[in-house]
Amino acid sequence: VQREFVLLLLLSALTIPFFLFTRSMAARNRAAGIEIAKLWYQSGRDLLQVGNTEKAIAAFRSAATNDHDNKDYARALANALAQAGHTEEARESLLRLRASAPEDGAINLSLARLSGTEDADADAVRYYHNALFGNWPPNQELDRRRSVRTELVRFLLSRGDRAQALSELLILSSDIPDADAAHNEVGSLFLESGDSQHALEQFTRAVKLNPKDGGALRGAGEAAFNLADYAKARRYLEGAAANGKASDVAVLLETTRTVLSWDPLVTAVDREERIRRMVADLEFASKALQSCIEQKEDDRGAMMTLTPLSAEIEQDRQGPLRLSSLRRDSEAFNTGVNLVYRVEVAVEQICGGSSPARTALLLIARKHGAAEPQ
Amino acid sequence: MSRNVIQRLWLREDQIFLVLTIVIAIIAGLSAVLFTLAIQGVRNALFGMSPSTVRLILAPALVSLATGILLAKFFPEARGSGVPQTKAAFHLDEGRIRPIVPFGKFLTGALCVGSGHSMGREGPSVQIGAGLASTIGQWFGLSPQRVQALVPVGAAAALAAAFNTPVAAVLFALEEIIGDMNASLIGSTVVASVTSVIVERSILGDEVLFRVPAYQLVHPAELLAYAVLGVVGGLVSLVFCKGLLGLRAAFLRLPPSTAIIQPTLGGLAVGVILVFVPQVMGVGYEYVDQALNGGMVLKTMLLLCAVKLAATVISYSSGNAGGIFAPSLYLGAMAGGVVGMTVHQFAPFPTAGPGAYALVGMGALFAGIIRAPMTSVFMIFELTQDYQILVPLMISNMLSFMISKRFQSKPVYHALLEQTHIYLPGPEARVPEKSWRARDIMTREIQFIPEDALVRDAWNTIAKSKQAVFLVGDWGYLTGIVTRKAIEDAVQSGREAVPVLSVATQEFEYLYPDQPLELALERFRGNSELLPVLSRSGNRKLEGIVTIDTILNFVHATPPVT
Repeated sequence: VQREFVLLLLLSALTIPFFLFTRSMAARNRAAGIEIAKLWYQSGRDLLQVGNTEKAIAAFRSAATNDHDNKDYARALANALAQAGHTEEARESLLRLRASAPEDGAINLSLARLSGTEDADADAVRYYHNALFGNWPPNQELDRRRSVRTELVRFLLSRGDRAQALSELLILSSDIPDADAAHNEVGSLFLESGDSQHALEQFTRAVKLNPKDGGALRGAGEAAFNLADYAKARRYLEGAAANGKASDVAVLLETTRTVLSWDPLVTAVDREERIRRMVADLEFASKALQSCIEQKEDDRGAMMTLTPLSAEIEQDRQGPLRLSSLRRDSEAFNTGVNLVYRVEVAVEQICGGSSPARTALLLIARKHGAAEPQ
Repeated sequence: MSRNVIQRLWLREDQIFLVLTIVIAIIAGLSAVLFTLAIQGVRNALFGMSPSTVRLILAPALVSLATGILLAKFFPEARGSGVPQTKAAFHLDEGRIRPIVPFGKFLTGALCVGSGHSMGREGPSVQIGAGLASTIGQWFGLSPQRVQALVPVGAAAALAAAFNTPVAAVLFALEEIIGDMNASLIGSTVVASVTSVIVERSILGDEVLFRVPAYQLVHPAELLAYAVLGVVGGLVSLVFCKGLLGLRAAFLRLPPSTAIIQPTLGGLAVGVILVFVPQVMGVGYEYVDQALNGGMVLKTMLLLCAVKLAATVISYSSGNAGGIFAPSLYLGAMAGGVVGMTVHQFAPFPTAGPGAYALVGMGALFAGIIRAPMTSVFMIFELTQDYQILVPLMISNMLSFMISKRFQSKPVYHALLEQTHIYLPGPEARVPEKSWRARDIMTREIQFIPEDALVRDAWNTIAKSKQAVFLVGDWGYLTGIVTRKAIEDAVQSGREAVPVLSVATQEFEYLYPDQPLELALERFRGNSELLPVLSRSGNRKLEGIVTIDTILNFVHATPPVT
């Protein structure tokens, strides 16, 4: 048989064990690389936690180099790069990752965060939505989507887009688990976006699930306060104070109590009490006004606003706000509340300073529809 | 019937060659993969995750001490890149490479590059692949032409697996190893390259050496910026080549007995560099990746460009085993990144990010240092797979190539070979196979005058000869040429006792054995009466002489071509 043919067969046969050997060495090398990458990744995370971002980047880079296939490492690197301000490289890395897995939720989320830091708001929202509808590990899918939507709401609120934030929040609120922490979080977001009604619903539910949840009680109190339901607000805020949030709610609680005890238009008290409150409110406003006049007597512009108000108080005290008038005429209370409101607003604008009492007087006036001063 | 089957299996040489090409490509590809793994293994074993300062200094030095002994005693051909040696084997030794060379290269290359020397793995892979191909060819008892033809096959296959760019590997084999883009071996190198890449990907998957950014030419005026990059690339290439050749020459001037410890000196110097700039360790593609993807600031890239250049020059010149392919790409990425950042900051027109410039810079430095412009263009094109990059790439590469060529006439691989007295054929030797060459027409009937002879002795020696020109020296070393008239004049002027060398000329025209008859005739126009034929692989080693008479004798003795 031809010698070359035999040699060729022999050589071809030798390539098989050579191939298998090389493949096994590559597999061993790969396994070693994966182990090394794990160590680098952990080291990177530790470094990131202690704030050493640059060294963390180097560690994540080593992790990604040693284990090319692990997208978590590449994403951790990109996130660390973004955190350290290396946005260009971070974006390149993430876009490359996204090109290979366009529906990966985590990658889209990272891109959303990066776009957010670069003030590319439209891109950020687009990537957040991609992340919302993207792929997540099956056992974490719901939680991750919720957290993404929560982050999106926070992002929109930080950009002042309350309308879109609210629409996302409404979806989120229907999607959360019935747990006090979840209701608490969504309630806070509603509160932040100015929807106190939905916030109160969320906090109320949280309180129901855990009556001793100080945070929920505080949130409910704040929401009720915003809705001018001061009785409810006081109840919740007192609950919050009793459950470890005393210092957080102190000012709000004092304001609430002041509103409740100083409101002359409330129907739950008798007329004499209402008259007493009206007189006291007017006296408080008058004193504040006099104090402000004394401070600004050299300011002609300020005096042009303050002096007529002082005169009006004196005039009304002789007229509609006399005790006899108040006993006779219920409409006089509205006049009084309106006057107190205008005085307090003017004093606040000209002389500054704020106190629970002033806030309470303004809230009382607003609750009863006081007109803004001209 | 069985006889018929055997006859059908009976293979012709060209069929054997085709199958052998595929088998060799598989083996070369596997070797290149294994070589890469070995480098990583050595590096992990020596440095681990966080090497200490002592380790950084001592590892390259101690490893170089071991490889220095191996390279000096057993594998002298395995020093340096391996590409020049492969070219020399292809052009001068009919593709014959000692079977021990690929194994020696594998061992010393993996140790040197793995121990932190600033060198590349592609050059050694080329030599390993070519060496295996040549060994197998010799083992099969193929004709010298076939053995020679297998060298670029092995080289292309190994490079394709090592660098993962099959088209560039084919071009590299044609442009750099064979030196002829029209070579008839294109078919077999393509087959080898493709086979090897398939093997490599079946083992390593789609793993990339570095992540290549999407390329974009943002504004037409950017082409000017790429021209600037070409100039910068040319200048950096020039500094690299001059530095490499200068320091290598200095090392070669040291006593031969120091050859064993020269790599250790290089290792020690590189170790000290690694303590301060560990980013220049080994192949360094991870830092190329960073430069390409905007992960480096201007100062860092500038520093890395300078330090990598110095470290590579030291590693290579001191005689360690490793290539300059990867370092040239590294330098290109850094230099390109620096230009890109500067342009990005100061140009009055919109520009692409520094990553795009780093990418083009890689091609520019490769063109300037390796002097393979086609390979450099297609390599970067193959990496990006983006048509847009071609024009900027061609502008930068050509400028870099031209500047480098203008101030450093010999390509670096050729110049390195010439430092060891190996002279590769140039384009003038590229003539049709049937042409008459110096080796066909030369004669070995030569009358030498000994180098240490006096004019008086020379006069006695030539007295009976009718020749007008004589050679001074011997077969091993041709010192000079002396004319009868020069000797006569010396005798008549009473200078009989002076050495003949003093009246001889030591600068003379000569031929190499593969150069054509036309060139010989051309050189006779310059009043030469005799042209020595020197070996390409030796320092003035004589192969024969060509005179007008030898040409006429050859013409008369050769039957006319019908």
